Amino acid sequence: MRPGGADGAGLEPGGTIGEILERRGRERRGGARAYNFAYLDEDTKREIRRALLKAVAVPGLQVPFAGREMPMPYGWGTGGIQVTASVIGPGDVLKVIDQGSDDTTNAVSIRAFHRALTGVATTAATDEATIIQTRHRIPETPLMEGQIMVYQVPLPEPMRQLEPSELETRTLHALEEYGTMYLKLYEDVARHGEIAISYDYPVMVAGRYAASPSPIPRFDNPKLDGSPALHLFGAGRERRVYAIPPHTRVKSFDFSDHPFRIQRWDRACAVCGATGSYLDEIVTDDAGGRMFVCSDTDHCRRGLGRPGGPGPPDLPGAPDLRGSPELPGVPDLPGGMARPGGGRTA
Amino acid sequence: MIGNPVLAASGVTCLYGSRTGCADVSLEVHPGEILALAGESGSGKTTVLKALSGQLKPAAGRVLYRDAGGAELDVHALTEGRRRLLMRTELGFVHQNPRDGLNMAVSAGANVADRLLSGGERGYGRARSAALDWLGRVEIPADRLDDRPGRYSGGMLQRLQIARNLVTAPRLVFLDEPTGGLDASVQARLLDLIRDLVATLKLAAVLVTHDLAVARLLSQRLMVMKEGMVIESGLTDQVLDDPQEPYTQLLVSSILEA
Repeated sequence: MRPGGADGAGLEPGGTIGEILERRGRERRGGARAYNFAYLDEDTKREIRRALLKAVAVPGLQVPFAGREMPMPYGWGTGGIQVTASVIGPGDVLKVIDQGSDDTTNAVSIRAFHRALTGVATTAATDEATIIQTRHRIPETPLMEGQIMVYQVPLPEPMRQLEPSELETRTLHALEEYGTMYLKLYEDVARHGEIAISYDYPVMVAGRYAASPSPIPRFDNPKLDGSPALHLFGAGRERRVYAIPPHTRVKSFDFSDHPFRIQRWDRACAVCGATGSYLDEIVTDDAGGRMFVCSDTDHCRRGLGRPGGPGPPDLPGAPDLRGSPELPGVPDLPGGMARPGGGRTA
Repeated sequence: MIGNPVLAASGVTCLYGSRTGCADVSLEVHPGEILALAGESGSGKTTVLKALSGQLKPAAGRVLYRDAGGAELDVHALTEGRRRLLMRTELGFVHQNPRDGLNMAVSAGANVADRLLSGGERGYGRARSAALDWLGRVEIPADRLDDRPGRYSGGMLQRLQIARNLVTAPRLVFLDEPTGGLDASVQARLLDLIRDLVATLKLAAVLVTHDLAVARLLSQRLMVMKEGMVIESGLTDQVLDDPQEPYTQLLVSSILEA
């Protein structure tokens, strides 16, 4: 299925600035909606989109933006939510995942937030979504042209661990001095005999800027290289956005004698039988029992990675750890995100 | 002196607001030569060193560096990127406090490999064997390669800083009181080491020290500074054995007889 595209991204219907302002004024005077479409006001969204345009124009460059207070704490995805809110339009279909799952608390809450404040359709199916907001994973299903991945980024600066000064890291980026990146790899090999970074593995974007891919497993790094989708990264606390535009070269840092490798498992998913997907280890009892299952629940549920071809999981006796195949209905904002009182537009 | 100097400064004047850091300092450093700047605290030695190494832009005067290709570069007219590149390839800077010149967050080996990795080395094995080799040359045991510098003694830290600077075979090294804060026996070993390295690598160096004994041991030429001015200069032995200026005479007479 071809995604609908992010047309009219974030703009209210009825085009000119004058019309928008007039309508907003009406709303303020006790009109129809308590919140603007997608929570943020149009000027904020425009400012973020401006930063995103710059980020797309200079792949991998961290662009500052005026990050807003969101009705949730930093670290809960405020950067990603602001990016999604700025690019989403009424015609979009939204998927939200956390650790590859559509059903975890954060994914459910953030999806509910966006649905309540935009009314857009939501889905769990990767190939139906036009916008996928994520933390920790890139879906196993190959991304398509027209899709937007939105990442919630805790630490946008890949050199922060070794260089605490922002002034210095900016200089290093500007002068393309990336020796520090290799210092980190050197320490890993010296200590562990291999590059032991398992997630947030730093990448070189378009041969120019070092960037943090956010805490995705290094298993997902190759999916960024030449991806037909647009990848947008939002860091709320640090107030930075950056982007990997479609069909951009993304290379993981490595040594010639210790090349970049992805994680591999010597077994298939215990639920759907998929081979070659990223597996989570799940402890099943107190006696050391454990099983390995796909981290991407959509992929697993639809059996997309099964060697015999797609189909629902049919392994006899396999426990269904994945919840019902339907998305749970979430009526409104979850309890932790109560609407502030009054009818004021944000 | 025959041939072209590797570093030539003319009329360098540095101001800190209305105060003078150094005034009208001119000097030349030739390949393979160690030039010492001596004087008491506050005499402007370190200011001159900072101006020579491009860290402090002088209010007047020029600093010219002749690079490996023979081109003459105005250190303060270079772009920041070019200057930083020079600082981690052809130049070296050994700080008085090794913690200023080392990355205390990574292992000793990584500290030495740093300049190589910054310079485009992409082989782990090569970077590591170079680090190991240099640790040996500054007399640090090989089994300390993966220790953090925080676990080194003061003398080892200073030797590590020297290894970190010399791994890219620089042509000119700035030494800011390299033996300051070390006890006498460690100082003596470090001085021996520096003298050996400088001789075998054919390095040029500018050495800042308040210790005239260090200057006598390491340098061929000596400049004595007082209140930001160079008051006396010449061959080290000549200046120390036959000081002309009263201030230099005072300095020399204050050395304890060894």
